[in-house]
Amino acid sequence: MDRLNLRVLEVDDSIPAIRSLVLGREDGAVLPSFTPGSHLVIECGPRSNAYSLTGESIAPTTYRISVLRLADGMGGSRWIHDELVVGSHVAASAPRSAFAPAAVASRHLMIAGGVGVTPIVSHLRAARRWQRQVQVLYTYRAGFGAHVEDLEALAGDGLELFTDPATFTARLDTVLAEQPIGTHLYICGPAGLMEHVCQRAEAMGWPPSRLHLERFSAGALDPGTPFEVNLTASKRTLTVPSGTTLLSALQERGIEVPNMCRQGVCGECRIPVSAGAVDHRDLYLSAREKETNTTMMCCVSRAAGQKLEIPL
Amino acid sequence: MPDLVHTSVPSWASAAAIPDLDVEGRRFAVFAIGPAALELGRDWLEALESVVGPGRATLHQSAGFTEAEPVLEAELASAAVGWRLKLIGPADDCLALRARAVRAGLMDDEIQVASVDDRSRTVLCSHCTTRTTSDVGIGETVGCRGCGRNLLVYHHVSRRHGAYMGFMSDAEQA
Repeated sequence: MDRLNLRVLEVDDSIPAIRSLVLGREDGAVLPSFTPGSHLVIECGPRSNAYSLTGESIAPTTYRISVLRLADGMGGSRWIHDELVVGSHVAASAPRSAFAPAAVASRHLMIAGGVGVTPIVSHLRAARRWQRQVQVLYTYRAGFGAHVEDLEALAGDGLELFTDPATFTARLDTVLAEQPIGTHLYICGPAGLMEHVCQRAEAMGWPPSRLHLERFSAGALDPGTPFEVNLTASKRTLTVPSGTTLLSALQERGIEVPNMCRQGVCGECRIPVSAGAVDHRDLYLSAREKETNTTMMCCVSRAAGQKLEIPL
Repeated sequence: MPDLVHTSVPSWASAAAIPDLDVEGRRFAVFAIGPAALELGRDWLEALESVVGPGRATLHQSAGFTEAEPVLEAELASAAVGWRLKLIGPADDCLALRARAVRAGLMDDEIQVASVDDRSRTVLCSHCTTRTTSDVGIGETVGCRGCGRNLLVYHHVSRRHGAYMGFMSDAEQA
């Protein structure tokens, strides 16, 4: 992966618990352009976290991100909030696209919850440039609304703001029911909100092809039952105990698997499977890919039965 | 010719095929084109109404594409997401109607096709863009009614034109 050495140019802490950063190169040179909805993977001390880019996407000289401080998270967001100051050095990946606007859409409906608004901001910049029809529903806790001014400037009349969950829920049903054919739906926010929007959209007959999701965290998973793995290339077997991931078990035996988020979202740790049924618990593979049972994300997925055979 | 599964030719266009009715959706329009489609059209309407209730599915009968097209355009203009299109009829008419729907932004998982006849094909001439319809198989040739060239009916269907690609079959010799 291309690695970028960036410096913190500006820090904005004006919204409680949300820190917005402007990053740039030492010499101010142009950074790689990106598809709207892309994210950077930032090395946050011991962790690597993905953060959506909110700034201009074409030949930018700066990258902008906004980070919610998760007090009880894994430490990545705390590192950004507590350690970084203007002038700090930050290592990041080149932008990665996993939440692009649909090229065939004639209208774009965007639902954002909390700090999940960040990729929507970059979608809206592109929508404005290409004069795309947009409607945005943004729900957030009163006083904690990040990027409200950006949304007002970019979405204009298409923007609706909600700080009361009941009002949002009622309005969501109306909006989902009245979208002209050709509309695509983009959802980014906490897991509970995304699940609710998907479930309501499905109930109103929205097909999967019109739904675009950006998940930034997986729900907590149960520790699972132990299973045995037959590694055919290295001619070894190993047992993965309950509470240990297959990825960790492989790494402990010196088998290197590229990995990043370790929560079934980023797609880095995909490995082949040659026999045995997989209990897929990731959010990365498509339903069809999961059905083929020939590949798995070893950070979260496990054996559905007692055994797996893996050609590593 | 390659296995058509790996081409842009839908399976229902190369051979007549009636799928199991997919009842996912909130509202439905069923288009029955030609007399052979009517009975299945009525069956599907009844089955859909039994799931979503009366008034949420409509059956449109027509003799062919020309008659069905304006009706489809009116449906598409007022359709909200949740709407599904069912096409029943000769594969050639279904391809042409699907193209109208695709151009209006309909996705593949919103369109279901039952083809009752696979003999006729429409070929779009790559040289003069005239459309020629005749009883011709994939890989066979047909004379273009625009420029007269002898066209090979290639195993490629344009989703937006709703026609097979045709190109001069003896270009290297002529």
